[in-house]
Amino acid sequence: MRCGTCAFYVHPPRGVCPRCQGERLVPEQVSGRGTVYSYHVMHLPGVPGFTPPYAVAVIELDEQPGLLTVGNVLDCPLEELSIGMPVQVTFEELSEDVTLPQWTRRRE
Amino acid sequence: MSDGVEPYSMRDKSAIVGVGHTGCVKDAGVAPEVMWMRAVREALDDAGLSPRDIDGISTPYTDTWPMGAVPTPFTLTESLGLPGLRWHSGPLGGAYSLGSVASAALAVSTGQCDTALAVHCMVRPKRKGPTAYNYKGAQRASGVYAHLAPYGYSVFVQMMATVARRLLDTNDLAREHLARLVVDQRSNALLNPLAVMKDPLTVEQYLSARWLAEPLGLYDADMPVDAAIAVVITRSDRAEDCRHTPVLVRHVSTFLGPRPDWVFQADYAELFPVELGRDFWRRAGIEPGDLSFAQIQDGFSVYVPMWLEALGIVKRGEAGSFIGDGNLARGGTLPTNTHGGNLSEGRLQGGGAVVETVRQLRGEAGERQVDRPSVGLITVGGSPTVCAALLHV
Repeated sequence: MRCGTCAFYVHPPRGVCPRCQGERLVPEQVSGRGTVYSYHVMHLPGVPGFTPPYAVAVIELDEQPGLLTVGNVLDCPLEELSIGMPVQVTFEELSEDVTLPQWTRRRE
Repeated sequence: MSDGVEPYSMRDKSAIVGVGHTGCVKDAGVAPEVMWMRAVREALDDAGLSPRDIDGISTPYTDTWPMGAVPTPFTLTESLGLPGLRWHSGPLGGAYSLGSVASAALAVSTGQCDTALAVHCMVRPKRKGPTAYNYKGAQRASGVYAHLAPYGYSVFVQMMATVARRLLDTNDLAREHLARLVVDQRSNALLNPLAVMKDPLTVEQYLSARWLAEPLGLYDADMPVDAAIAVVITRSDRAEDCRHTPVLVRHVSTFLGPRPDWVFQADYAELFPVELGRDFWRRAGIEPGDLSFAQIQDGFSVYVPMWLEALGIVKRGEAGSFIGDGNLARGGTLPTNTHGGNLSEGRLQGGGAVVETVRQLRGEAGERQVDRPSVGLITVGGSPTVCAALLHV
């Protein structure tokens, strides 16, 4: 989301802007470009729908320093994932009702 | 220690006069209430006090309708046969055991009550899988977890692994540094009869252990146990009448981080309470160089370097080499987690650290005794809620 008062990007969504306390937060389309801020490789079972080992990445969006989101880098082997890797959003259709924003490697 | 006393201060107005600790085991074979009451009886006996001397109680959980297997002011008041309590509370900073001791110290220091009891009990999950400890959101995602669970991200160790990855790759921290920490703590635990871990651990075993969530392996995570602790805190003007040397509460402090999760904060290197560190020492009138030892929260190994940097004991980026050089070992410049910590004594969320600090400062720590200690630091929690305390004799 983005604050309609001070233009600060906010994620995850919330009701009031944490920078200016403005109430006009609205969904805003972003470039879909970012870099891997950090990641881990999960080796434990227990998360429904996931078979370990698999990687989860935290992505820092180009729009604003410290603007983080979470996803999986779909086309990247576990051992090649690294901090600073450029990524581009893609959309993974899980069902008719559910589409997830996801990530692929971005070649510079 | 510097002399400039803050005009509004709790400084040395309360003292710990009794501690009890059941010891850490994988299955105590008794009800949790039996465990925590054993710790309470030991702490009262250690202080030379009786239940009727207690007029305040704090515990990590304070529900008035006791549904879970946890001690609360209500259940303890009933178990001790007390007519009621002058004061009760939860933990300062949500920081479990130390937070309960800290809020009791604040209450005693400000005349809310005269002698308070702080109690904590941990029960090891006896079932594995998604019903066990820390599998928050694995079955149903809401709030922040709605942005994590669809990507297979909902177990707490994953959050710490992601933080650890960032620190390992950008903050001069190495797995070898963490290995030194974990192995040193295990050797401390071998000298602690209360510890659950009884076997030595080598650097090679640490580095080749299976992953939980890479880069955190089996030995980076604390050890779930059945255990309970209890602590008696009283006015320092009455503490001299108790059975042992009073351990004075110099200062306690808490901090609330800016976010309720460990995921979306902008700078992972500042996830731990850097802001707390900026004035903690001044308020206490103690410098890091005054410390005889420290008990630093180690729910995961990587907490320790984060705490060292947050409190300014070392500069940002220097905790790894500080640990790697052996400063935290017995005989090092800052012996740390001398009882084995949550990693090797057992997961008491800092409860063992409080008991150990008292026993070290009294000179009762046996083979693991630090040489003539005078000041001990305890930290519990990580982010966003924490508590830190300085005790001394």
